[in-house]
Formats: sequence, structure tokens, C-alpha cells
Amino acid sequence: MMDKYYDIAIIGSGAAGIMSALKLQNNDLKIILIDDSFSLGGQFFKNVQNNQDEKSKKLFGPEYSKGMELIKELDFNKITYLSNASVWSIDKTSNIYYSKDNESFSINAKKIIIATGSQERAYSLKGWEKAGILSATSAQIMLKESYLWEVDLYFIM
Amino acid sequence: MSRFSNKQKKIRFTFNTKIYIAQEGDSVSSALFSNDLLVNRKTNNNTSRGSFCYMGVCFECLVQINGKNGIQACKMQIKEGMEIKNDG
Repeated sequence: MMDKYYDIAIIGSGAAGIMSALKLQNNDLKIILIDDSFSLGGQFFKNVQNNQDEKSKKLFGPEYSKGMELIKELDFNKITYLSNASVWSIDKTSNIYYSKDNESFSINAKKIIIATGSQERAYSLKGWEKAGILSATSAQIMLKESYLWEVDLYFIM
Repeated sequence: MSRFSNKQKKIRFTFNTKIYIAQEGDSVSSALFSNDLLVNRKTNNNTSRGSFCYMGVCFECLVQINGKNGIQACKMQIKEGMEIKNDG
């Protein structure tokens, strides 16, 4: 059973979420790191823990590899990491509601850091909504997560 | 569609009852996309929609997985024997 009360809740385990956790983890605080995907790193550092071979490092560049160094510094004795959990509401008394595996849960934190990053804004040309059209970040996610490339179908906005 | 790394374990899944192969670590979205399956669902006006943002914000990628409708394909990892269908 997971604890219900925390000092700090960090929502999002991307660059900002990880940095927040690193800055706070040695201050004797009870920290929870909540993320809605199945791996640490958010979008830019997507799947970095599995992309440590030379080929990936060369392809994704030195900035990407830094993500792994940051993740290695995380101390999971001090931080509770909750993956696949989507936060859908926070109320005035700092209750955080999230769903995981089709079930709803809530926790409470004294302070909340929202590090959910940005969302791409597609410029809507005619036909942009058609199935198979992707944004640049989507292509990048598929490259880092599934190694998909040489795809003719990309239409980048 | 090619992959620059295909050392990962192969995963078999079905889409609309036909068998396809994906790689371990794929999201359901990329598993479908890598098999040229671009249509995840139809809107009420019967137009086609596929995965768009791949990060859980646009909700265009909804599919049915193992009988359950309205699942975001991009936030679900592909698993051996998954039965995927168009949402709806």
C-alpha cells in the first residue's frame, strides 16, 4: 500500500521533474515523482535508460545522453517514483487525484511542483487531422522509443 | 518502414483480428504505425483518426484493447498477445 502523505509531489519526470527531484532529495523530505508514461525522462530524454549503446548515443547526441547521468543521480530510497499515473485533478487542499491501470487514487502533498512540460502546437494546414500525419515530436518519440526511421509518411508541422 | 535497431524481442499482437509483429518497448501507437496501420478510430462523422501527439495529450489515438474501449494507444506498452481493435 502506498503512502498517502508527502512533503513534495513532482508531477512529470522529464528534464524539469528530474532536476526538481535532484535539488530536493537531500533535504530530508518525503518526495513523490509522478509520471504518466512508462519510463523516466519525459519527451526529450525518452527511453534514455535503454539507449546507452554507442549507436544510439551517436545518433541522439551528447545532450540526450546527459539525461542518463541525471537519472543515475536520482536516489529512489528518498523518492517514490510512480509511473503510468495520470494526474487529472488537484483540489484546494492539495489532494492530487490520479488514475493508474484504470483505477483512481489520491495522495496529498504539502507542496506541488508541476513539471508537465510543453505540448506541441500544430499549425493547422488543410488536412492536418488525417490519420498518419505526425508532428515533429511524435517522430522523435518513435525514433527514441521504437527506433523507427526512414519513414516516407512524415509530414512535419 | 525500417528500424535502426531491431535487436529487441518480437511481440505478436492482433489488430482487428489479424496478426502483426512489433518490438518490445513499442507503445501501442508505434506498434500500429510500424505496421502501416494508421487508423486507430473513426469519429462520429466517420472520418479516420490515428495517433498524433504520441505523448498522451491529444486523445486522437484511442483504440480498443482486450475488449476495453477508449484506451490511449500512445500511453500503453505493447504486450504479447494483445488484442487491439479500432475504438468504438
